[in-house]
Amino acid sequence: MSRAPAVVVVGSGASGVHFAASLLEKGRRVRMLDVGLPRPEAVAPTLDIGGLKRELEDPRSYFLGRHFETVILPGHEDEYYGFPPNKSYVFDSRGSFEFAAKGFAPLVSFAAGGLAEAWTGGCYPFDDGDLADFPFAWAELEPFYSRVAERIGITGELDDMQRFFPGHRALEAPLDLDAHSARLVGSYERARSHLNEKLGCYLGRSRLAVLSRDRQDRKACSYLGRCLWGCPHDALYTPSVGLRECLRNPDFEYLSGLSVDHFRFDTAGRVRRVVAREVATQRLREFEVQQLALAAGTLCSSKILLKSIQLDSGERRELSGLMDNRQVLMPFVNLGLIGKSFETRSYQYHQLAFGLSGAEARDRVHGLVTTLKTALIHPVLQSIPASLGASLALFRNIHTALGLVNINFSDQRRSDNRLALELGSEGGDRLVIDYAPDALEPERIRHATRRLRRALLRLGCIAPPPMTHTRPMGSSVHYAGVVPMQEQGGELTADPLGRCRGFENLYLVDGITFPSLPAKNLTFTLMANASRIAEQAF
Amino acid sequence: MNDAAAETQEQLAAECSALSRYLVGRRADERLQREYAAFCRSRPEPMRALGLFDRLSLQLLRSGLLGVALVDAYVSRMRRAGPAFERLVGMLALLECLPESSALLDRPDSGGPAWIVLRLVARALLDGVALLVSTLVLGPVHLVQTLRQSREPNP
Repeated sequence: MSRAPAVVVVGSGASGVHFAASLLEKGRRVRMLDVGLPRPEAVAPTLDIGGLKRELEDPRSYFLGRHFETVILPGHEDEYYGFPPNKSYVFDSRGSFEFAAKGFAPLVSFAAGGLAEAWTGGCYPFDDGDLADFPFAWAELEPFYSRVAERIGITGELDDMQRFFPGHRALEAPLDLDAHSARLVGSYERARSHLNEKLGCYLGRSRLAVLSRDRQDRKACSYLGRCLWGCPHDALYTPSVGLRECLRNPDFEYLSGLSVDHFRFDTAGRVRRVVAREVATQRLREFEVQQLALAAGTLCSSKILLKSIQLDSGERRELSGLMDNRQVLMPFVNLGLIGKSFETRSYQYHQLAFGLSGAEARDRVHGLVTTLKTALIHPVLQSIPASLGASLALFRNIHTALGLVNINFSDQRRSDNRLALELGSEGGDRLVIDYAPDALEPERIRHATRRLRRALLRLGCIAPPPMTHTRPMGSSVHYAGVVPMQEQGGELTADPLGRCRGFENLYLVDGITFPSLPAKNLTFTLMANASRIAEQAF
Repeated sequence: MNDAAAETQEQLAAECSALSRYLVGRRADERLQREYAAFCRSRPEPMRALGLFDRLSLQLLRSGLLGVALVDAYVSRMRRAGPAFERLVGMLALLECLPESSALLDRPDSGGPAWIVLRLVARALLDGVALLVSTLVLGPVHLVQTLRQSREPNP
C-alpha cells in the first residue's frame, strides 16, 4: 500500500473485520495491525466425524492433542467441555497478555479472527429495550444488522423468539433440525400456551451464522458432525472468513505478528503514531496514524488506552464499568429419548433458542439449547459423582436424550468493576481486573433456573438441580462497557459514533463502548455497530 | 528414562486390557495399548512420589475386572485427583476417539425403556455394593496415606 494515509485498525476480531469491510466498501484504505495467529488448515475436509476416526492415521492426536493436552481430567470440574486441539491457537497467549484478576476469569485471543473463531455462531440483534442505555435506537442499527447478515449469511426463522430478537433482512432458510431438537419443538408446540402464559417462556430457532446454501467460496452446512473441531468448509462464519475477504481488496493492508502496545498523541488529543511490538523479535515498530480504531476486544483495547494515557501523562488511570454475561449451564435429559440411538450427521451447536420474559428488558433471560451429539463424553462422565463404569452404562442409554441449556443473564455497569494497569513481570504491564456481581444476582439466577426447569419438565425433560452449574464470570467472553457511548459524557466516554472523548481521531469500535449488556450474545451487535461507526463517522 | 517408564510395558498392557474390558467389554488391541502407555507417560506425577494407596490402586487396576470395579467405585468418589482415576478417564478419552471402540460407547442397551431402567437400577445397586466393599478394603489404606502425607513437611 503506497498511498497513505489509511485508517489504522487494531485487531481482526468480529468488530475489526466488519469495521474494515465497511470502510473498504466506502472506498477507504485500511491498514490492520494484528498478532494474527493463523488458523490451521482443515484436516480431511470431506470426512464426517466417524470418517475422521476411521481414516486419520492418528485420530488420537486430532481429538485429544499430541500431548493429550485436551483430555479433561478430574480437577477441571469448572466446565463440561474443553476446546479441541485445533482450536488451541485461538487462546494461545503468545501475545503476552498478563493480568491479575479478582472475581473474573478473562479470556483473550491473539488469533486472526479473534475470540469469535471459537464462537458457536449465534446472531441475536438487540431490540429497543436492550438498547435503552445506548445513544441510538434499533431503527438506526437495523440497516447494519441487515448488511452484516448479507455479508456473513444468517439462517433462522421469524418465530416466537421474534419478541426477543427483532427481524432483519437477509435471513436465510434454517438448517435441518437434529432429531432431538425437532422433538423439543414438537413438545413446545403442544405446550405453547402454558409455557407462554404461565411461565413466560418462549422457544424458537436459533439465528445462526451458518450457511444453508452455498455462497461464493463457502459451502452450505453438509452436516459432517465436526462443528466442534472447526467447520472445514466455512459454512459457519468466523471473522477469519471476513478477513480473507478483506485481503482480496487492494486497499486493505494486513500486518500480522504485531502486538499493539500504545499510541502517541499530541497536546490537542490527536493520535499521531501507534507503537507495536513484533511478536517474534520483541522489537518495537511505529506507524503513522491519521485515524485510529481500536478493535482489539474490551480488555486489550482498554490496556492500549490505559498505557497510552499513562505514558503521556504519567497518570495511572482506571476504567470502570466492566460487564460480562453471567452464564449458567443446565444439563437435561429428554425422557422420551432414553435408550434411542442418535444420528451423527447433524449440525452440532445449538439449533434452538429460548427466552424468559421480564418486567423490563434487563430482567429478560435468553439462552441456547444444545442437544448432545458428537461431543467428547469423557469431560462430562468424569464430573459425575459415581463410578466411571456406572456413569458410562447410564450414558450409553441416555446420550441421545441429553441436552444442555446455556442461560445468559444481563449485566449493568457498576463502578467497582474496573480495569487498571500495574507493573508486571519483566517490566511489562499487567492488567488488573476486579469484578463482583451485584447482590441480587443469586436470586435472579435461582428464579430463572426454577422457571426454566419447570418449562423443561413441560417439554418432557428433567434437569437435575445438582448438575446446574454457574460458570465463572468472564467465561462467556462477552466483555463490554468500560468506555461507554453516551450522548453527553465526560472524559473516557465515547460519543455515539464511538469516538473517545479527549481524543480527536481515536475510535473505539468493539464492545468497550457498550453502555449495558443484555442477556444475549453480543457478537452480531459488535459487527453491526462497527459497521455503523464506519458508515456514519468516516 | 522417566519414572513413569519404570512401569513395565507388561504392567501397562495388563492395566490397559483390564480397563478396556471394564469400560467397553473388549480386549485392547496393539494401538490402544500403545496410546495408553503414551498417555500414562505424559502424566507428570512420578511413580516414586506415589503413596501406598495410589500404588495399591494401580496394582489393583492391573489385576482384572474385579480389581478395576473396586478401584473405580472408590477413587471416583474419594480420590478423584489420584493417578488411578486419571487413568480411568484417560482410557475413556482414548476409547472415544479410536474407531474400534467409539461406537461401543454410544450403543444403548437392547430392550424397551422399562428394561433399560431396570438394568440401570441393577447397575447402580452393584455400584453401591462395590463402593461398600472397596471402602472396607481401600479406605484404611487411603487413610494411612493421607495421614502420612499430612505429617510430611511442605517442600
